[in-house]
Amino acid sequence: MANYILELKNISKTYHQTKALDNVSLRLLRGEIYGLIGRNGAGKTTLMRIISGLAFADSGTVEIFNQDLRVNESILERVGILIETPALYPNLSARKNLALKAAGIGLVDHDEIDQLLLAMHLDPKDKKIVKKFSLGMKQRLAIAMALLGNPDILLLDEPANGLDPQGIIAIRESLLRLAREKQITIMISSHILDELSRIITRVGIIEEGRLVEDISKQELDERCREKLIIKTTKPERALNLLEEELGIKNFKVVDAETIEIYERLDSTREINRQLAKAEIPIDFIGLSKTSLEEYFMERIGAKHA
Amino acid sequence: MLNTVRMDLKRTLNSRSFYLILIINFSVLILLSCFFSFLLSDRFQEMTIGNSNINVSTQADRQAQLTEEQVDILKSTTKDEMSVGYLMYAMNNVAIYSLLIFMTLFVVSELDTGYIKNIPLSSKRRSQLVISKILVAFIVSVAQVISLFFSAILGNLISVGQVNFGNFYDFAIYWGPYCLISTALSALIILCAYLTKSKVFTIIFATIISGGIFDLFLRMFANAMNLSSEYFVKYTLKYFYQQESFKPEILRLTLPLALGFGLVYTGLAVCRLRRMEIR
Repeated sequence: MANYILELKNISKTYHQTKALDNVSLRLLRGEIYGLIGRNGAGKTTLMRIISGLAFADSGTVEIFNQDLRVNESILERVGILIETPALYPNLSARKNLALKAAGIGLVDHDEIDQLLLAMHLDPKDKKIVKKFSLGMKQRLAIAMALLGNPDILLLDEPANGLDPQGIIAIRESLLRLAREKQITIMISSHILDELSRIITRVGIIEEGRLVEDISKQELDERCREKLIIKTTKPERALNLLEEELGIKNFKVVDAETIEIYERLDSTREINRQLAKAEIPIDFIGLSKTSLEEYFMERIGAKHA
Repeated sequence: MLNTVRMDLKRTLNSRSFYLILIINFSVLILLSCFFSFLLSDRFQEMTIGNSNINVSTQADRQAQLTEEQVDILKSTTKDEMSVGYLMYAMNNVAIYSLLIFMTLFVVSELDTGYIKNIPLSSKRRSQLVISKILVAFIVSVAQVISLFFSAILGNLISVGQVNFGNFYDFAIYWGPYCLISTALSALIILCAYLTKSKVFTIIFATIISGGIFDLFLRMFANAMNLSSEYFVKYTLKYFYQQESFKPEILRLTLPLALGFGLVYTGLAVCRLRRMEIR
């Protein structure tokens, strides 16, 4: 039986007659990196706020390490969060901001503060106050804040906001290392879906407060697998040729003019030659792989376009 | 609990507003001392008391004609009264007001910046956050008293050229309860800050309760209800810290009222924070 580190059961939350979350259930194993994606206002932040104790669910349960949060709230000490904007005192330096949290959680070893700052490419000796930081620096400091105290679960709400490409890569590598080496479970939401797809092991799509999709990376890859797209005005003839002449069985007719083929992708030239020989008019033929962004848009975005 | 207190104390010591209120208290006291120095100067005394037709700078009847004997008594009495304790007492409203402003900024900034989100917010921790702030209020109040004491020594030198400490018993019996009263009022401000989450509104509220406007409302209410306003006013915390000294009979009521009000406000603030969703 799998030992789930985080388990949400039928979480619902309503704000002023608007259903922010509607019976959301999900489970995370240790070391998983769970990508939570959805449009603005879909409920991602509300879900994270409920898990972290900042907000209260109307119904449902949150279990961390098999302990109900309502019964044992001290388990929240094992959760690190970065939700919405960086929560920092503007008139204190990076080190002092971290030192305050360290005092609050009883952390005595201040070397951890210096190491975290260095890992986030911030200078521990820098006395510059946070008010004068760039957005990227504030974001990196906020991530360091979430990591302070060695949490077992990390909730990151759009951590790559405002980061330059190097910063994004640094965060990606840090998160992968944390999940791999320290088995930290990470729930991360982001609108940079391409970047997210590089690190996640599971993905959940949330839409209007409902979790409409909750699949593993393997399943996602399967659904977003590489395919050969053929656009033709004579799809019936093309299909006959593919099945009878080429023996291709694994395909899908997407619409009146589009066929997607999922096998023999290394025989594109042969397929093209056969179609041309049969004088089937081809508007487009080429290999394609669905990105997470395209998958998300197909799943959610199209109806709101 | 200790961790939370340690965090808040660390923040207090790193807070500019903490040092600002001490500087403001010091500056106002020194200005006041200079003012007293001028009032008590021979030149001013001759300008005013010397001519018995001109108003004098005391609480005596401004229309009264003063004899020379009366003038001499006035001069000597006023200079004798000018002690360290007197100067500190003259600052009590400023000190309380600045403490309440500090507590407003201290509490609201934790919410405004969102820093409170960095602390694991279990119910127990939320209660600890409130109690920790009450302790900070008490410690800052004590720090203010100590700072005022040393400022008043300098002020006394400026105003009358000598240091007169006054009666230590009178000093302790006033400033000990004062610290409790100011802590209880800080608890009210903390409650207001958590209820409104607004710096502006809480500062206005602090101005009302420390500036006597609340007393005015109480009196108006009592008059409207055909009741004795003195009865209501007598049981406000402000009434107590405005006493010139805490006589034993007043002290018997001061301490339980300060503790009672303080506990009630603290309890309400804890309830509020425990139910509050943090954005």
